[in-house]
Amino acid sequence: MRNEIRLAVKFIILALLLISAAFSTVSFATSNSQLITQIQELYLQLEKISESGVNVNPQIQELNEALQLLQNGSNPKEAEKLIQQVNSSIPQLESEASTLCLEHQIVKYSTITALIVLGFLTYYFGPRFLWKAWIKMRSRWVVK
Amino acid sequence: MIEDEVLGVIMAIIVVAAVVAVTLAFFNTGNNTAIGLLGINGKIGNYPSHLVVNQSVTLYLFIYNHEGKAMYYIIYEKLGNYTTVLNSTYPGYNLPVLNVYQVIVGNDENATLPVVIKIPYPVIDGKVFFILYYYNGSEVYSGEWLQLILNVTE
Repeated sequence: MRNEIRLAVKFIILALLLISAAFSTVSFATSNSQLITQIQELYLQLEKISESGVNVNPQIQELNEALQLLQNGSNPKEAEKLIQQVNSSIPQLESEASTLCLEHQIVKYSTITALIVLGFLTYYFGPRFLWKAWIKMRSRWVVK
Repeated sequence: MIEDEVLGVIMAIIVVAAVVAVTLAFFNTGNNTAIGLLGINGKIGNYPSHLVVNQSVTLYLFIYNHEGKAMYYIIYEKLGNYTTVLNSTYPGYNLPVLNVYQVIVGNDENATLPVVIKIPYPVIDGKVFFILYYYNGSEVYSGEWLQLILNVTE
């Protein structure tokens, strides 16, 4: 009877160990896929930020490093750390992007305004300047 | 005064330069991704043609990004047979997937990924495909793929 109880206890412990191992594998896979989803979301955010001209290469490299670590399964903790690092740098990059965007808008509209003003100036003062130059160039001419 | 012949040559140069400029502006084929399969030593050549079932062999996939921005690539390694033909619109939807690789490559940068081929059953004249997708919120087939023909025996 005792032997049977011992055997049953051993069986239950073994079953519990197997179940916990299976759950830990599943949770590991789930957390890995969650991290990859997070990488994909961060990549999209960085891509949008880079459109305004901000240099996001360091963050892209870190994301790729994290992605390779997750795929190799070598160091998921390090991968998570890198992802968090990139995530924390997003607000600063976004503010840089909005500043750059504003600068681009200012340069664009200033250029357009300058071209229009230049056009009007050429229209009004161009002929006068041209004829003055023409007369000056021929001021020493002598009619024989 | 400029002579007529000289004027003709100058005009011809201006016309040719204008045509080249317009062609480059309108037919800009600048953005692309190049992929290449490298052999066992990480160089072109030395590709396996015969494997044993469950034998692992590591090759290398070279990816060069010239898309004008950082790209998130997903590469599906799939197994087909000798009659399987992929093209720029058909990426072999129903083929069994052997492996999936993901990599982010910066603009004008390249990456060399180790890829493992391990086939769990015998195949005669099998084709291992490496099919390139990119991620932009969803997976999009790039139209580019590579193949390696090999036999797998017991």
